[in-house]
Amino acid sequence: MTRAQIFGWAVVAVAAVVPLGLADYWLYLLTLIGAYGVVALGLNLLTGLSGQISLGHAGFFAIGAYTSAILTSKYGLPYPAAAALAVAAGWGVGLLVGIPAVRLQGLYLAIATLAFGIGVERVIYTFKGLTGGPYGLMIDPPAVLGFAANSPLKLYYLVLVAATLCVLFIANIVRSSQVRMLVAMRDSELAAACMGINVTRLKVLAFAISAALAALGGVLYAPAIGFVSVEQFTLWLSITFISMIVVGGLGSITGSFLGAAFVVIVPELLRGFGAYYQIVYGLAMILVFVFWPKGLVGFVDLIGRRIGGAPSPARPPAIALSKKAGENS
Amino acid sequence: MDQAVINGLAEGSVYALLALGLVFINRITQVATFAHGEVAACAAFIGFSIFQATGMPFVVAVLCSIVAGGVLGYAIERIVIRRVQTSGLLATIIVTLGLYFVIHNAIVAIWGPEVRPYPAIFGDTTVRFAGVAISSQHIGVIATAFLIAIALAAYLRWTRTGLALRAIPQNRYGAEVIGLNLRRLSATAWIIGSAVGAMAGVLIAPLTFLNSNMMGAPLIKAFAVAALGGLDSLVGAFVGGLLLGVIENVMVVYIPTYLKDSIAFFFIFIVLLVQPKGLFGRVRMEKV
Amino acid sequence: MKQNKKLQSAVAAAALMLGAVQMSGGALAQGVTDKTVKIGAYDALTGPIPLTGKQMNAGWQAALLAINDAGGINGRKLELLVEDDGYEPSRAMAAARKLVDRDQVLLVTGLGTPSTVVAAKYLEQANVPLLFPMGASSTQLNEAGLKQLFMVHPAYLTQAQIIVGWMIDHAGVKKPCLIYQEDPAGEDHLAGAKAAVAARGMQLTAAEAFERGTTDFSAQVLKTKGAGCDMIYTAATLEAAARMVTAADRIGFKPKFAGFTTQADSTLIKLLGPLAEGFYAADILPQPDADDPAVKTFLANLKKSAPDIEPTFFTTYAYAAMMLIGDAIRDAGDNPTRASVVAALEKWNPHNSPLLGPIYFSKTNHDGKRSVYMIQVTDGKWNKVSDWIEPK
Repeated sequence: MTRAQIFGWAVVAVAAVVPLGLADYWLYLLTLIGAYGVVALGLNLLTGLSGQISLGHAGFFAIGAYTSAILTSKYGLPYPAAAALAVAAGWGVGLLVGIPAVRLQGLYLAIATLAFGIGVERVIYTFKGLTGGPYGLMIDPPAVLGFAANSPLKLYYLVLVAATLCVLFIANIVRSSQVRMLVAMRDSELAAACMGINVTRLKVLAFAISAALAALGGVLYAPAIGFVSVEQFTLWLSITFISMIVVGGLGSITGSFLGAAFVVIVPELLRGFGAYYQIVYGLAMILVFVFWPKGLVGFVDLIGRRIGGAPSPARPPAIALSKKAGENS
Repeated sequence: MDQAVINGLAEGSVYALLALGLVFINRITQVATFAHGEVAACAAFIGFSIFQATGMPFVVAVLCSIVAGGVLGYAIERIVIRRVQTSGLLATIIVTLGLYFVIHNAIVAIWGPEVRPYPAIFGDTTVRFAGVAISSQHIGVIATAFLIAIALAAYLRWTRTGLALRAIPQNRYGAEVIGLNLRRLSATAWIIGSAVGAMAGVLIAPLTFLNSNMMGAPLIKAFAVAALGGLDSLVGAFVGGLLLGVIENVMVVYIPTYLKDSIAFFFIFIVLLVQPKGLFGRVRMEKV
Repeated sequence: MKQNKKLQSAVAAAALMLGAVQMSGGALAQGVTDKTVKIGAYDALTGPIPLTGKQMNAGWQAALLAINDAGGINGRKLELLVEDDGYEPSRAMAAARKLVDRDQVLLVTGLGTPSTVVAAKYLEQANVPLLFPMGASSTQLNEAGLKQLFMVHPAYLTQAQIIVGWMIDHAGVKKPCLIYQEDPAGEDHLAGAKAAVAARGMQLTAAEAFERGTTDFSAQVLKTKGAGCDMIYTAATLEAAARMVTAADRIGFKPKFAGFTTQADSTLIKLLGPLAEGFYAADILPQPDADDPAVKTFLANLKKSAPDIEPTFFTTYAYAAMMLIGDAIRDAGDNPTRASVVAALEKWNPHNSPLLGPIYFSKTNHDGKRSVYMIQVTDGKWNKVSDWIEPK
């Protein structure tokens, strides 16, 4: 196994054991980190690797959460089936949005996705007979193949398994030729096209995969809160998603979860300070790019290097990543 | 229906003004600032505090707001933007979003969440003309937006600094080569753009009452307008703003009024679908 | 060897302490100790209505000060834990969960109709009383038949019914209209308005909706002008109602305006100045300038607790509600439990609140207040123009 793989499985092992002693509230937070981390994985694929910026991913997240919530609570579908349909819905809408969207460049793409995110919010509101509108829908604990995740600990394990599978999926496709083409495309779209790579197709694919992962995140998130309502899926959430991958470290799997942890834990730590946790968010977002573009993952790397003594595996410098993000999209 | 058009022109002028500042900054420095609305709000608050503290005529307060806007814009450019200018689009989006949060919450921290009445610059008279009520507010807002748009365009076209500002986006490297001081010019762009935004804030505040949340929705509309009109085009921003205002107000005569705010998004989709660079945007040639 | 001994004695001490805690803690309910009673609240301190959140908190704190200064309830001081939910229902649920699970409060109160609807669902399952939150909904809250929820703010449907009916009967309105927020609260208002006109064999001349967060009402106001309305019922926040008035003024439209309880506030007059003249509103609390000893006590306590906060509708309501919570805990006996609080409340028939008037609860009715009285702005001040009115 490579160093990265050993590291990965070690993290999973720790994540599986540590929560056994934790109080419910901490389990709830960790579960949220798992759900958000899955979203971050997809966003990292989209923005970090294929260079497209989306300010509307809360929309896909909402599609996942609502589809699974409605199918389980109103139509009585078993959770795995509802989850699969929700992810498929995310994929489908991702294609629908992606196909026209990838023609747009940089800021226009950002604005179009922003409009999409807000549009989803409006649709949820308009169909409040189905979605419950601002009063939302209560969600029953999910049951997978007879395993009823009806306690915070069990739900946590469900999310842990799902997140691990997603990481394996992403780790695998990152090595695939498709994604290497994606990265090539990010660095120079023109050159990639000249080499015969179907740039548009890859971009749409990246979009759809990230949408499906965001939807899966929503599917995992909904039972953790026990409730979905339209107020949760706003532009602010989309921005939170972007700040996740930026603060965590663009293009990095570990960074995805570090960013998710940042985004979940900071409001908790600053709970006594009212509005001011938003200032911390804002400052973090600014400071990352000004001082520490590698994000939190850069810290982890640094510590790892100090401990391990060996040079860290090559990872594309974050500034170059962020530079490309948006320039060529 | 005619009343709807007048209302729409007035509302649209405000969007247009906000978008003008946004586009001005973006065109010259390639940064679309999501903090634009909050800078405008902060400037309006500062002017208001000065007005309350010193009791000077309100016009002075308006001027203070505009100056405050310029100063804030300069501070942002100098302290934050300059460092991430060359780091790509994601960096500038994230950083300006971060600034949005910082400034928004700073406003709440300093001035509190209270809602305060804000004096209207253009007074309160209403004229009836062919069955339509035109208030001095309507006229004032439209006229101001129009004048500022013309002033900006004239500035870019006919002054030396304007010429220099226009040169930068065309060829950044070349501009430096011929000796243009990019730093000073970027700062100038931000000062002017933010001051224009502050003016928009001063015009919006009497309608929404001065409060910390007042620029959230207008900023999104401004982005919609800017995208509609092409993020580089001042003409596009101005026309787009008026267009959106009128379309919104006219359409709701026929469709349920609560859909009014959704119209903007609907239009963005359509326009971007058909014309990926907006209605007036420039097509930029890519060098191979 | 020494270390072992140290360890042993430490363990012994811990065991003793645990035992002691077990023995004393067993008799009292959650949130209640010998000296204190813990109450929880979810509040919108950030988000779209931070001012309301701030005012509610101020009112609660002022009442707490009043109660604790007078010696507390049956010898126990009240302690309030406030969780910010940013006016987001899911965060309200999380806040309620935190207050119950982690902080172990005796009961909960709060702000916000959507937040309350959601928190109420959770608190009902958890068997924790939810007392006198600020918010209302006839279907989801006031008449939902929830065992743990007790309301003293009249449902929006009830209010709309009373207000629109009264305006037709007593203010000469012939073409009533409303502008309402497109959400369940707004729809509650709409239903009430419809009920009022139907009872009088009339119809609503116009009913225009707007999305939450709308700041420009020129379109809505224009449509009502076109329909010939002579009254607009402003089923929205105070700021939104104020914007409707200015929007109407801009197009030279001068109907009668009538609002519900949240508009019965001096802030409206402050925002609108001379344009506020003639505005009607429903109220359930006395105005701050009333010649009423209860009001004077309230103002004194507010000044002591938060000198820079104005006595607005929300501040006054929160104060009155918290005082009622104190009454409820007192009536629950020397060792209050969640169940005994509920039982005590169901015997209030009526219970008199110095500020809110008579409150009626029973085993089957938790909608404590079903009447309002009308006030109007004349000469730049709110003045009472009716007595208590029930829906007709």
